[in-house]
Amino acid sequence: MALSTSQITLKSSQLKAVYRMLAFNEDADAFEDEFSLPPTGSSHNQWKILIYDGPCRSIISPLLSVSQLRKRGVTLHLLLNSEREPIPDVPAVYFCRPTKENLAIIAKDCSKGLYGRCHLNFVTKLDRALMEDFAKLVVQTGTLESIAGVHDQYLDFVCLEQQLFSLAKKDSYVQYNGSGASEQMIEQAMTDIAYGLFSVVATQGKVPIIRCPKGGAPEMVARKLNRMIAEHPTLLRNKSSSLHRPLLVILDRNADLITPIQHTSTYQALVDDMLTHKANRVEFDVTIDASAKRPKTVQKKFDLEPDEDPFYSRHKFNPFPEAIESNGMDLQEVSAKEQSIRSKAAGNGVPDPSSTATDLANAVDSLPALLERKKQLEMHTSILQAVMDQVAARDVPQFFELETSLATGSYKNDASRAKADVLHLAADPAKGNLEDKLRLVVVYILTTNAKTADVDEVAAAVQEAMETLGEDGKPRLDKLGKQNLEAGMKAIGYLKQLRSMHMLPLSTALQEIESEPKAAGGSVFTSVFNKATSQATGLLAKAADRVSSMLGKIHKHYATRVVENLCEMQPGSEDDDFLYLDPRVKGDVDVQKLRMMNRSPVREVTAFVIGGGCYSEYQNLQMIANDRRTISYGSTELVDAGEFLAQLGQLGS
Amino acid sequence: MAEDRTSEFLALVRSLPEGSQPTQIEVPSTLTSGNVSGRYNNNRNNNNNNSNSNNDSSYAQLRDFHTTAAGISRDIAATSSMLKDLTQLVKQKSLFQDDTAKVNDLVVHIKASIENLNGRLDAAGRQIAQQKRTLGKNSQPAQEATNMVGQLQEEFGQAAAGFKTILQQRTNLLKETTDRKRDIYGAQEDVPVLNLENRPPVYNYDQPTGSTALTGFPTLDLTSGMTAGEPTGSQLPRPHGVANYETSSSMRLRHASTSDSIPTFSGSASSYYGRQNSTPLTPWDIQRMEQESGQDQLMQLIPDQDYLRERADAMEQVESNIVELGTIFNRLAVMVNEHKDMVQRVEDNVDEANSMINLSLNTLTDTLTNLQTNRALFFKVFSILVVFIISFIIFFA
Repeated sequence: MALSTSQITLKSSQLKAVYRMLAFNEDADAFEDEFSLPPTGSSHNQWKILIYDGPCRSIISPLLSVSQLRKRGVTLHLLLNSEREPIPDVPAVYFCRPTKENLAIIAKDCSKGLYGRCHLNFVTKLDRALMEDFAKLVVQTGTLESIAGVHDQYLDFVCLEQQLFSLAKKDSYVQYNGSGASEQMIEQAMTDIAYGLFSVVATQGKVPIIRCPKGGAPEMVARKLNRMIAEHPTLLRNKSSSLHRPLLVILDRNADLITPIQHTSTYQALVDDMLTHKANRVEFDVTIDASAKRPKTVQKKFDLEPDEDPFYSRHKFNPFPEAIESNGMDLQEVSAKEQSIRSKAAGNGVPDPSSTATDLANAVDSLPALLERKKQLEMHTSILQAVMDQVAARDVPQFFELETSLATGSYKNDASRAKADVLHLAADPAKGNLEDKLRLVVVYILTTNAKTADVDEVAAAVQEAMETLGEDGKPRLDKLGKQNLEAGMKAIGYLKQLRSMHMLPLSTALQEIESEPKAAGGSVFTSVFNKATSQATGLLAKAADRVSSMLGKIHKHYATRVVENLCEMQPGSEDDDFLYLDPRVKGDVDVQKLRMMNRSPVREVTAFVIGGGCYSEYQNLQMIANDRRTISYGSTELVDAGEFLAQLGQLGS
Repeated sequence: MAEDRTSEFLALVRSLPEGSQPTQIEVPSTLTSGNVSGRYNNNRNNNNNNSNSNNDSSYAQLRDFHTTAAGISRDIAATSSMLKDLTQLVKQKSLFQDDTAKVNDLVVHIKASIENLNGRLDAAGRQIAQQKRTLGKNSQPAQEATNMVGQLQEEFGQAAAGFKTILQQRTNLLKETTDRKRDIYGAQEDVPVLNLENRPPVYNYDQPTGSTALTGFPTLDLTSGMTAGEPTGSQLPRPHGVANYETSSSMRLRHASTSDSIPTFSGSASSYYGRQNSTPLTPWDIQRMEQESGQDQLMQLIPDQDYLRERADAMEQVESNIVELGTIFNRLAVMVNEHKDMVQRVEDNVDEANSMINLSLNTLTDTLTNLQTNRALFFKVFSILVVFIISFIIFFA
């Protein structure tokens, strides 16, 4: 999965745009990499202050660290709505959403003369009306001089990885599925999404072909986006990329509700599921000396760099036990190297000075890099351990297995056995926590056409199991837990209701098993894994044993299948009935007619899910990416299972 | 893909004062844009003066500081471009073409500018420290200025480190060419490896300057680098500029006296600290010494075995010292890295502030509940007292 940095991806394009913005929108193409950058403070790289609002901060934070900003001459970065003191004569770069409040704050700043000249950058299009208001303010305060430029950047998306982005819209699933949403609100939400997608398209700089299912939110967004691109003056004229047009697939979360709920087995997805993971930052609590009378818990925070960190980029899509194993091996290797260097440095008594001197110099030079790598690996060790603790405590592998077999349709002809198995796991109070059980029930509802009575029985079993007293005689649920239980029951109610209205796609084989020999590769993994267990130590080893069953099952999720069919233009699949919109062509295009012509193969795909995406879907999609085809994945927001369950619960109430 | 809407905005603004803004209570508008902007400028300045009159002096200082900083960074840029030239020169591995004069020239220039920059950076740091007192420690202008100095120091450190590696490269290359020359012109077999005197007299060195005076050997002062390790000092090595030119005889003496006290490579950093007062010499001087010793060699046509052996020892010394310097530089690099680690993500500041606010809120609520419970106690005591008094009145009155 490691990508060469020279490749043009969404993230690199966004980074380039941000760099240009920080260079006051002058042409900064020459200084793209850090090494050819002129020193800060010189005429090409002036000192400046960056002022952003909250959403724009979340755009910048995964892209650039503070020291990188410094290299670009940013000496201070401040929030727009915080209290700011005057720093005269230093130019300021504003980067914020074009809202009335923000514009008012900017005008006030100018009138106070806080900074030198102000370079205004808006994350999306600044409406003409807002601009007029702002112009009036500026004229009233008489500060036209201080405004150096006004730019629309079209950067309204958060790029977390080379091929992963999110529009950061909260509760997006509720927004357009809620019964309380008025027509106008939905319209507004869809326009927002379309603007976000337009930012993505504009940053990529290529006019895509848009595909989406007919009807519902995807069509609405697709048509809006199509119009935006077609009406934009410069984007269409860019003819350079007319041969290989990128494909933009817009999907609806409702078509596949299972994926964000299901338990997962790969490293990145498990980190997201088990720990608090937001915008590439992991947080978790670690208990120090648990044997002591009063065990202390310490919160740990780590920043993951999916593209720079070699271990993470190699293993984020790998099954969890594999990640543990190679982490151990890498760590050993690095420690050995470090040892050898240190011993070399210590043993100074070597007689031949001319060669050892250079050797030594080289060794010492390489030491910081090695230490850096070791630090990274140790970080991953502690993350792996934290995940492992959770996995072991909650019996995640059992849930994962049962859910996977439900989803792949192994119980197709045996509804009573399915129910028995689900009931068995759901009723056992020792296995999993409330969330795990609720997720199991949701998967059960979504994958089988079990009778409503059966569903009720399972749900009741969960409730009962959670309300029994724990081993220490205390109730298993505190106040918050009870609320969660209630919300979960509401979510189940909502899904039952959806099902009774036949609004759910009820195919029993929503995910088809990959027919490649990988499925049979379980035994290979197990043998490798045995070796790993002998190397790993302590709790890690014991608990890792339980995850070994997670291996060897790879299947394609709904989104993956759709994208693959669209890319390969399979007749008789979604390729036939999805809408085909081309901003260069007016009106809809009939796919049947296109079949007659020779369609060029698809090189770049962007899959976008309205209503929340998740890491397991992202990982699943990357399976069908190869040398000739890159697949980017985006969604209105990235949700983990708990958040998505909560959104379903909101809809049920 | 950014869209420039500045002109649209300007057009919009210009269209405004003419018709649509009759309510505006301002000086009667003069319509040419030049005048307009001039007027606005004045207004702004007035505002500035009114609101900030008390802070004016400190702002003037800040302004001064900004110009100094700009100057420093310009010079750093110039230095790094010179460094680039030097790298190119050094990398030309031609046996017969020799740019010693050019290289020397550049080295001297770079050395001078690095010294100069270091001094100015220190001065800037002091200036900032002073201003912090007037502006308040956490004020944003002070932060901005501190960050600026930090960044400048980092860049300066990088440039200096680059200089070091180039010097190292140059030394290696010089040695290599000597070896190759020996290969070509034939060498005497029985001499030790580092005997540099074996350059055959046949070879005619084309030396433009030919400074005949015997100049001194290098003594290496490691304290120059070590000032970086001290917490109070600047983060960067401080080159003590004076190169010491002494006669070779006294030089030899000095060398003999200091060589045994020069610590081994594996020695800990603390062992360097005691030697602050020995004669300083910076890495860039080594380079020059290299050059000059090369020239010396030419003068020295009659091999004097003792003297030459000593020279060979000195060479070794220089080499090992370069390695030691390397560790110092590395430590410096680590320090810079640590400095970077302190603030990684943009939100961190805000997060911290947030947690602080939460903490203070908690404390406040705690205090409040504390107060409330006290009040309850007070009421209880008071009511009991009242009951007693009443009963006292009823039963005894």
